[in-house]
Amino acid sequence: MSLAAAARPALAADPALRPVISFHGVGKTYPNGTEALHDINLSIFQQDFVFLVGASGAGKSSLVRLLIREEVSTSGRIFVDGQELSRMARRRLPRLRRKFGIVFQDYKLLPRSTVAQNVAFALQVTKPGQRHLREKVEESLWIVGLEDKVHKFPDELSGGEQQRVAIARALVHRPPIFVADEPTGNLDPDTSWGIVQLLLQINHRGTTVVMATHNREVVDLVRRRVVAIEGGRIVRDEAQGQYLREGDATLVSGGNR
Amino acid sequence: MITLLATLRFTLVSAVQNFWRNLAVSLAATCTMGAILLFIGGILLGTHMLNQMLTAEQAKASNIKIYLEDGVSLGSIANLQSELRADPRVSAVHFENKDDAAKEASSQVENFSESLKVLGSNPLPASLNLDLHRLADLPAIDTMARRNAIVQRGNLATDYNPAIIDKLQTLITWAWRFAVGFLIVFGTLSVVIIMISIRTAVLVRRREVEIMKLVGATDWFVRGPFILEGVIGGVIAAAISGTVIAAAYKPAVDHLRSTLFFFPLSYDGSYLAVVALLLFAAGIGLGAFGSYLGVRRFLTV
Repeated sequence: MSLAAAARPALAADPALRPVISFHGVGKTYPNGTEALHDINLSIFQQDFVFLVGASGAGKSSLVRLLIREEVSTSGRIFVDGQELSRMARRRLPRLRRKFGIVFQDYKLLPRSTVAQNVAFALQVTKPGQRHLREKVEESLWIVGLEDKVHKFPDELSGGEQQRVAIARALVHRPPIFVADEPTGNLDPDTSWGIVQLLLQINHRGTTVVMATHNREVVDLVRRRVVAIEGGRIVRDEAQGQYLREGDATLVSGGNR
Repeated sequence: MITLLATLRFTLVSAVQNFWRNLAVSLAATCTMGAILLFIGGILLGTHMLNQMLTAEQAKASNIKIYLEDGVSLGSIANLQSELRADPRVSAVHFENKDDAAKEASSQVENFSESLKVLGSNPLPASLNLDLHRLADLPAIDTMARRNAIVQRGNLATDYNPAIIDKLQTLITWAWRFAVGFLIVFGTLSVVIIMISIRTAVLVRRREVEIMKLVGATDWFVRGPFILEGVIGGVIAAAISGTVIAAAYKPAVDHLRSTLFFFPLSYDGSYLAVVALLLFAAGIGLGAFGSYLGVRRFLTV
């Protein structure tokens, strides 16, 4: 069991506060023989904010892909909201994916659609006939601070603004879990900090946030739970602000949320 | 109900929007499909004309003369005639007496009348002339006729010539095999070419499919607009190829009639309508099936 999970046995015993995400002995080996993950054990609770850190190729993205069932684990079991992913039928995947808001490093926006259309797209394809579509889109864009860019196209926006559109799209259907895979990977430090602030704000509203990053500065500044992955294994799982700098014997203590 | 209507609306709007936004790729796929449908339509009309020619040739060849012994009673001839009329393989029976035979021979052979005068009597036999429904029934009718007592013996029994009929039948069989083989080969080739062009059209929009899957769209929701877009392309392709075929059919028949005047070719409007319907069905089917296969590989996200 991870350190973070062990730190709150009383919560884990309460069925209402079971982990929303849990990995039990999970491994992933790709068809070409590359072992991306090995014996991953991890529990993430409701309203947690978890950083997945590690160098490029450490296995962060593989873990994210397993979490959203873009890939299937080769061993172990993964649970999301009580449902086991490896046994889940393909036809049930859409329902699982609707529990997530997902953003990527490359934004994945539709280049020929406006900001509003990009955000509305997520609702149109998951909940056709949704009432108050415009209001929901406007609210999402207001949260990310782009309410004045509704008619712009992605190529008219900066990298940071494009990532905000991707966040608004991920938020618009109010998912309980928010997954961000290197959301600041293409952004300068100031813009990155703005994006992280936004994710903290989303977490503050009650959403569980899992963010994969190799941006050490951001992780140091925010001081939330950090799961460090190296060579496909979890090498460290530090709860809430206790993050050991690599190559540094000093434990950096942080305050609780 | 609202959800269903909204889904249909989204599917329709997305399909039209995608077709328009990716006009170059969509038109390339549509033109490929149109060219192939045009080709298939041409083959269908070509085989129909071939069928008209072969049917006429079969009708011409599907008859047999049964030569009767001289001096047999009219009663026994009438009995054989009735027996043959009752046979389902026979479409018509006509009695030709010796004088009719002589008249016909005179019209076909020069100086025949003079030859008859020299002989002093008419050596030609009376006959029962039969028209059959099928060329393939000729051997059986010939065998049956030879067993009858009032029919002449040996080589003089009938005018059935197995060598010629067999050749004609072999020609017809091979002509049909060739036409069907041609349709199968080009039909298969068409599906493959159409699938590749539609797959290219889908490939351009793989990001959109990826996003739809990641936000939780169902497989059918993703497929819907692509399949409808394929159907739109198929209908446009069928309309273009159908129009070209309809416009070219009559001039083609007229031209062939003047060139191959010995074959009874005719313009068949009802068959043209069937071909048009088939083209629309093929366009819709190929467009939908090609899109279904084209989008399938991107749904594994």
